[in-house]
Amino acid sequence: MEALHQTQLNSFLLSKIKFVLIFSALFLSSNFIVSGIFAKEEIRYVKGLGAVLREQPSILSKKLTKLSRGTKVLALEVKGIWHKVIAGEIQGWLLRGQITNIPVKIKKLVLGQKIRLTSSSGRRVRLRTFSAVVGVRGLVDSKGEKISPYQTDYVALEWLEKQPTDEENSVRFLTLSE
Amino acid sequence: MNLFRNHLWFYIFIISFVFASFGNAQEFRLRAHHVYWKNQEANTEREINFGRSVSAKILGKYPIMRNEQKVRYISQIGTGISAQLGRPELRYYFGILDTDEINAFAAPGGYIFVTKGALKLMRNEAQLAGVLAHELAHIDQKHIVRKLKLQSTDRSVTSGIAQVLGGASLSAKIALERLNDLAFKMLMEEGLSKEDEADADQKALEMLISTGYDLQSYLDYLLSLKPYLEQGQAKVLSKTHPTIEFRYNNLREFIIKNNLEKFQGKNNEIRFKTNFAKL
Repeated sequence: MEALHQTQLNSFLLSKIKFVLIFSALFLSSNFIVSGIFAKEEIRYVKGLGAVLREQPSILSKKLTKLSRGTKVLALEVKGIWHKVIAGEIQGWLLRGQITNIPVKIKKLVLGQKIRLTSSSGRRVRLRTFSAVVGVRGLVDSKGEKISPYQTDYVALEWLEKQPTDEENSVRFLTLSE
Repeated sequence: MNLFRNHLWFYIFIISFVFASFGNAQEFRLRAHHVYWKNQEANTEREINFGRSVSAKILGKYPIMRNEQKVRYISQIGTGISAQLGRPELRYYFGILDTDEINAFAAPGGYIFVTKGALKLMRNEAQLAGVLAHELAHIDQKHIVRKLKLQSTDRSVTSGIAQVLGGASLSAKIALERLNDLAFKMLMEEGLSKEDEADADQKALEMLISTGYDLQSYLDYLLSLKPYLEQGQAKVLSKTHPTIEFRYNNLREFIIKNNLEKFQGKNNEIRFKTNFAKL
């Protein structure tokens, strides 16, 4: 009789403990996840080359420092077009367009496969992607009619794509005054 | 067995605690970004290919100006702005269309065109920067792909294009070509929504602020368009954009709201005039 009573008490206590454990575990994990989603302070990344961090949310305010592309900052609050951030130990304001919520990767030229084909003039041209082929040959449906009524010029486009651009030089060019 | 059952809740507790520590806010965020980025990269590639086809149609309609010095000048200004506020994963191209029409176009994926007529109308570099920034904003905000309503079940904007582009069958390719024609028609006839244009104008001002250009010059450029809107020279522009009054008031409001009246920017008039002395 005595022994039975003891086991009953044991199982009762155990169920209490189970209850506490489950809820504390749920609470702990949810706490982490919820804070991850609804965190007020958020990690952002500087998009541009040389974003100017300012003391106040104003274009006339003092410049604190320049942040380089990809710098991790902690975004605090938004005020109009300005975003309050902490970068390292410095706190200041950036324009909202200067930060992004995805880590900045190195720019690479994303272009489709190159296709070799002969243009109507017989000159060999290098063109990319399916749509390029369409541009030269014209896409036709089963009745042999052209799908797109518009003219295309891929040769001109390729000429434009060959023109050199350099981000750092361009930024320097912009900051030059007359 | 009984022993295991007695300790089952203890194990569950330990396991959930381990998971909880994995659920650390930053970790969680980074892993989500990793997945997001993988998708994003594929989507960007599709967006560029889609934009190339639209650009080829623009160049089919208007001839390109093959003047390396002039193209270098506008692309230096455009790239200078995009390097600071554009999408870092894109390379932007800036071309001049050899036509007297007054307009500027942006195809998805980073292709921007300004007409010779528009350049003739401009008075300084700040105005050119403003026009390029307006087009950059259209690309950054993906206005065209969004307006094509390419949102699929997973709600990502470009995956609609992706689904069509991914299809190898002829019907999928025809569908893509039709979509591309729609985007081209949007640039030439229908235009984007009033809100998108207002948004692009405001974003353009933000870009001008961060690159130190004069804001009023861009507003002056908008006003200088007015007499041409009724004529043929800016017919496409007036068809595809809201009225000048609407755009001007929208920007004035923005300037006042953000206390930008006192900002004195540069306009580099001399540099602009030497580059476009002969057009």
